[in-house]
Amino acid sequence: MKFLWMFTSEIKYGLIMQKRYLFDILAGIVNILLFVIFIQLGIHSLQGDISSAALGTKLSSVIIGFFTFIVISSGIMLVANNITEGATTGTLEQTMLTPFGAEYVLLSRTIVGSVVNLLICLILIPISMLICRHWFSIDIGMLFVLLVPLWLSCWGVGFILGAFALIFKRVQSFMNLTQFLILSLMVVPSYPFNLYSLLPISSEATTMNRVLAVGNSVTSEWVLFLYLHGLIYLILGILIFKLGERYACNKGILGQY
Amino acid sequence: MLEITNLSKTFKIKSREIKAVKPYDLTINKGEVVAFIGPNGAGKTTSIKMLCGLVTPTTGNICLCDMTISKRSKYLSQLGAVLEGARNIYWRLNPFENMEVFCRMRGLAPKVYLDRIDHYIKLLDLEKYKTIECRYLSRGNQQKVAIACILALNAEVLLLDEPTLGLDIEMSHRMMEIISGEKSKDRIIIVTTHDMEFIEQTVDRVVAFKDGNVFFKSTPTEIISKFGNGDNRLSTAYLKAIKEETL
Ligand SMILES: Nc1ncnc2c1ncn2[C@@H]1O[C@H](COP(=O)(O)OP(=O)(O)O)[C@@H](O)[C@H]1O
Ligand SMILES: [Mg+2]
Repeated sequence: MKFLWMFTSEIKYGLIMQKRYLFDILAGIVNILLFVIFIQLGIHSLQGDISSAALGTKLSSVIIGFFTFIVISSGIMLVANNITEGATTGTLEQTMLTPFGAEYVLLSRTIVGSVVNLLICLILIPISMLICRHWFSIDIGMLFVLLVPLWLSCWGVGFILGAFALIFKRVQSFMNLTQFLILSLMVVPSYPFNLYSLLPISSEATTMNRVLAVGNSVTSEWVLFLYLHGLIYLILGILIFKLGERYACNKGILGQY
Repeated sequence: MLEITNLSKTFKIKSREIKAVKPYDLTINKGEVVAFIGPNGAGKTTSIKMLCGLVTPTTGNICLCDMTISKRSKYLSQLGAVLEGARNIYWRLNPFENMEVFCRMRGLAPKVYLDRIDHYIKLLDLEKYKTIECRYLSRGNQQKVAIACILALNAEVLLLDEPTLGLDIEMSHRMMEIISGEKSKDRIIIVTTHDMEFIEQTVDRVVAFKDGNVFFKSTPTEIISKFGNGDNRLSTAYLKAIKEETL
């Protein structure tokens, strides 16, 4: 019950914050749309060289891939930024003083933020299709099924980055590198199962593209694997965050920036 | 009752050891207001942070009515802290929203905290600013909000590290009035401050730190009679005390 009071307030204030940051959100949306316009210009310029079926798949992949990328980077950054920002402003300490522990408060905040971002994506995907003049149907049920493990995995990575931030402090330049890391993880051949599949995010992201853009089917065993994989990364992330927290408490460097 | 036994902290930076707080004992009863005083770097903040579990002690134990700090969640649900120098509050939320978030983060239900928030918003003269985002408030009002947030929790233990840092005289005075007003609610209040007037009027016991040592734990009147040499000002007595005490 106590947890519910905390969680519902995180929903309420998550939404209020979104409203207060409306300008930033709109700017982000404009950015995304501009980006989509540029890629579609690039791809349509290839038109003469490949068959229209191949072009269609390519466009679908680009749109799905692009939105997967946004889901991933915002999922990671929601957690990591909350931790670094909280540590610089002193609100992280306050979340640590709650009986639940900082990780539960942060996780609640992240869930709310992720859902809001998802809604924005769901509106932007059809707009992107319109811009690209390329319509394809997306299996929404499958989208949600595959989204959950992707989120779990991203949040786990966010917690790991947050832990690094608590320990090493200056991680901003490193955070910028995560964009490249995400892009690499998205193209690593992690299907069918091989060592790459154990990397974070990769299996979830590539499956997203294979199923939603290319239209391949996916076995329930593989979906189960993705859920386990995502869950393990989330738990691993939280454990590493707790270790970072413990290290910072020992050194007395929580919130020293 | 808050029982501190053998509490100490040694920071290790590479091979160097910094004894920030050397072992001390302290028992604080319900309803008591205790001031931590001492020069900069004496170990007050480290002590406060150990009391809220944000710095792990090297030795010692902290116990609140038989709950040790290792039972984190139970112990913490009885504690509110405003930390030194930090903002402590959410800048993009207004005072009311901040207080509600704080209460909810502790798992409190609206019927428990709504009246209290109302009460403290009035008491701390925040009514005018109730709907303004905290980033637009003055430093003094931000600090008031931070204190209001933890007062609304109705926690048994309040830890306030330099609550008047950076505030003008008037605002510091008001802050101290507010803290005095919270006395007698069967709470334990620990505040680090150098406001001698406040200490004389409100504080039951002074715990003086120097170079990590706790060199006395006395009432303000005891300090004056022991070190005052006829001068009945607490500040004179205190200054003499730190000069003389070489533990
Ligand atoms: N995280 C830390 N690492 C190393 N030394 C520290 C750390 N925090 C505080 N210290 C040292 O511990 C001593 C006590 O500091 P502090 O508790 O902040 O004093 P006060 O609050 O009384 O001014 C100081 O010498 C300070 O430099
Ligand atoms: Mg201090």
